[in-house]
Amino acid sequence: MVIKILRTTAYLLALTVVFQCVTEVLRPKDQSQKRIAGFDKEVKGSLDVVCIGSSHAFCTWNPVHLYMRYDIRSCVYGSESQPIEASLAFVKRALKLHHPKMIFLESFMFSSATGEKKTKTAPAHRAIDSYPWGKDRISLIESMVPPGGKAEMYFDVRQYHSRWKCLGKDDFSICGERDCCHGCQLIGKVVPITQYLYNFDKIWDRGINAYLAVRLDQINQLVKAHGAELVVFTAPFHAVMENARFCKGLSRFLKSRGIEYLNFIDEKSGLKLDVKKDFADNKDGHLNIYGMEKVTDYIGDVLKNRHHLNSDRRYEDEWRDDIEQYGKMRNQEIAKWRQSEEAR
Amino acid sequence: MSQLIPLAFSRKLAMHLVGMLPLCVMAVDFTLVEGELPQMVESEVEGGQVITISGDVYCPGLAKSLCNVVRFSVRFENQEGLPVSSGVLPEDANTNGVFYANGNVGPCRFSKTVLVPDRSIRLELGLIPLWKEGKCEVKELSIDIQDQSAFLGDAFSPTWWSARLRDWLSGGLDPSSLGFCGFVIILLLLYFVLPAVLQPWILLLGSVVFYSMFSVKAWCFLGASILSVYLGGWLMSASRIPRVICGSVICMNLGLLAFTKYGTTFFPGTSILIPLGISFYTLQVISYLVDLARGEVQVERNPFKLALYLTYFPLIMQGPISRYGQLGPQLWARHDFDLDRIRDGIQLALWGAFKKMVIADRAAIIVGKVFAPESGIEGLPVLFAAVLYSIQIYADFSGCVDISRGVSQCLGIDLIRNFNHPYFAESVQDFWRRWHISLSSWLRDYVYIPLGGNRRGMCRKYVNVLLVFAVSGLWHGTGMNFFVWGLLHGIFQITDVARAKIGMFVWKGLGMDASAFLCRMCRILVTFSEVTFAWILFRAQDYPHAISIIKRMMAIRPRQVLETSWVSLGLDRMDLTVLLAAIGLLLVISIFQERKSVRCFINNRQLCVRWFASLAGIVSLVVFGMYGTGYRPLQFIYMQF
Repeated sequence: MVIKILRTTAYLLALTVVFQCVTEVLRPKDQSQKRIAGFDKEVKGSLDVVCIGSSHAFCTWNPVHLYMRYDIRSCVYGSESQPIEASLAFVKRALKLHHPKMIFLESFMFSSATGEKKTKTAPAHRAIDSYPWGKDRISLIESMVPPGGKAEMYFDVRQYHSRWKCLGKDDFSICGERDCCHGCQLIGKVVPITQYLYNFDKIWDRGINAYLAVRLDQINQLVKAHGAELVVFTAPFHAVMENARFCKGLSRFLKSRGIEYLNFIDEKSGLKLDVKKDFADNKDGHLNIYGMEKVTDYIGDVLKNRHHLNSDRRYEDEWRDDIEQYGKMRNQEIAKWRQSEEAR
Repeated sequence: MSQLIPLAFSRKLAMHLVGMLPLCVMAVDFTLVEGELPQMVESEVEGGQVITISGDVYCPGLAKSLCNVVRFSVRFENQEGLPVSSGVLPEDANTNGVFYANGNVGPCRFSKTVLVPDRSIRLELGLIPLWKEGKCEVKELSIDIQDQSAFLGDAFSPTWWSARLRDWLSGGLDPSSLGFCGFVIILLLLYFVLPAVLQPWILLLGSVVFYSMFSVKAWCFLGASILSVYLGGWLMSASRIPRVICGSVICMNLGLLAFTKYGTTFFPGTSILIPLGISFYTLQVISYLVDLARGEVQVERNPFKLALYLTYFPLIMQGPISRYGQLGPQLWARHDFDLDRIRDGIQLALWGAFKKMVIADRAAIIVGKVFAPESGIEGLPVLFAAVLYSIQIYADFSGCVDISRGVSQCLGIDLIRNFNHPYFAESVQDFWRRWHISLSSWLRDYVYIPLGGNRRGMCRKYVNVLLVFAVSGLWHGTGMNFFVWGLLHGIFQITDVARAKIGMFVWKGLGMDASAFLCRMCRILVTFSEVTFAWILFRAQDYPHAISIIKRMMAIRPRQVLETSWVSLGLDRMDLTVLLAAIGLLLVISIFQERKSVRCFINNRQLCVRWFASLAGIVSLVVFGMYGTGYRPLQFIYMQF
């Protein structure tokens, strides 16, 4: 009987390993997944600042540029259309792994935080698939996903099993690489937009949803409990009036909680981007490499001068290699865009 | 603009509604008129809760051309009846909202998540019309207040578990779903961990929960059947006219079955609930009563034993139809924990899941596309789809039965085998000895033999055969196509004898032994063709649709083999390859099983071979199964009966 039980246990372990391997092979290895998985490759406890948020976070914050100019080690940990529930879980993980001095939280998806569990499948998968298993992942699934979609989150092979028809070489590389860009996305494209700045003195306060207020309070308490500081920022994007009204309400709320807020769509923010050269698309208005570097410089100044964040010169070797790789990728991306423009 | 007035609802009703988890639905008829006071609903709340208030409002009277806006407002009050601030200003932004109610497009949804301020004990939800003129008659107003607090905290807190359980219990369980796996695992744990004396009660409780997940209202019918059988049994044992009582109770149950299945045919426009499994448990009721009348079983004095026999969850959806003498004692016996038996049960269930999810659901895509009335596809593809449907229905039905048998085997309960490679039958009579064995044996014992069977001459035998299969057709469905399907099988059975004689004559003429492999193959192919032809009637939406499929199938052209683009029939090349490979595997295993048990063969091999076979099976099910996002889960075919 004992032998049978031991055999059964060994079989179940083998089954679990096989199942995990199959799931890993079937899971898509796109740029987004690689970027999020790259956070796990950061040296533990090496980051001074972690930036968390949606695509506007990883198109705005350039950790390598920040390190080159200000010696501050940071990483962007975010996914496309990342809901606030995922941001909370990411903040928890970032604080646990790196004990950073500051957390920068990007606010583009805040206006969608209503507690009604309407997160679409793709953003939910991006946020959840790479999150390690544990109580936090279960809380994340339960808080974000409506009842009908939870099975896919607990067993993401349900979502991806039909990928057996289009598996490539990349799908069998389970280990993954270190991300030399530390989570940011380099876009060489230049697309002009009309405007992104507003005069907040003339805008009325739309207020924020109570659910968002509760979540922001949770994040703030969590960050404070770890002895870190929370800063919320609204990245430059192709905002409309409704977005500006929401930011006004957000600003008031954050002020009442003593949380610093950097609003880059405010005329008075002190940052001026070139609407003809610094943006990569005119839909949501993500920044390209040029815009990203300008915003990163601004944030670097804030970190150095206002928060007196200083470097301790650790992990220089790892970052030196990353700078070299990053430089090549940056030039490639810009050259690619120039070539496509010339071809037209 | 307006003052708030209370609705027709009493405060007590509102409090009761909030006490219900999670849905509270109120059907309301009232009229909103601009200038008059808005309608309001009250609800008890607790400070600190985060609640989502959502609902549907249907205002059929509103014209399309008006900009019809209904505003809802949420106000909190403390014990003194004074308003309490939500704490996040401005209040309008936090608690109020507007939505556009266009009566011509149906109910309009509104939703708001709010944080209940501290010290609040009451919530008032008001609807205020904002249009310029006219009335709005509100036909339906349903409110759903869900406490989101459970999802704000960490997993595994008490409120987390109650919310999780609520989600899990809110829908029925498909046997090929993860929810069903979870249900079975929990049941098995309770079954073997708790004292053995509790085993039947755990089964009963599990069966009750399982059935309730599909429909609580259906308990009226099932409860009536259980009660009628129990009381009927008692009366039969104490009465001098047991057969009259037996007949009355059977008529009552058949009446219920006929009412639910045929009610909408005779009373069109009505909506009648069809209880899950009514066709199956009604036959079990009849078998128990008739066996009791014949003295083959003793009267059951324990109502719970009868209840478990009729509600036993692996059987309730698709059978097999079990006799009380065979199943009853097993359900109430104690079963020891046996790892080998559980392993065998899981293997059987996985094989059933493979047949359903890899073969049946894949074949269904081609069948659905080709057989669709508007498809316009003719000739060879229709023939191909007909053959695929034969395989689909076998894989689907036998798959579910294997899952039921596998789960039962884990519990230590043996169910009768319902299929014995029916497509290897050499005659239609042989087919019915191999297909849905529990139903055909039931029909034989409770319809064919009481009618006289073959003991009253050849003509009467043929009439009895036709009657039995007509009953079988009617049992399967209400349409003319099912009736004709049944009759067709009866006719095939009758012509079997003539066909066998013709066959003997032909083989003798060719100098061949009738038991030779080639002769057997011919008989098998002819039988398969007859059965496949009949399945067209079974699959069609109705009789005219069946005729149109048959006509389209007859339009075969010789060059179609080369002209047809087989990958345009609904599956891409890779899925078609997987389907054909899986069907090939099913065929090989079926041939193997004619001589030997595949499970015994694998279990006698070395450990690494056993593990490899098992892991390969599970991985192929996980990778090639038709489930998950992008797939519409197909109901088991026989579940509709």
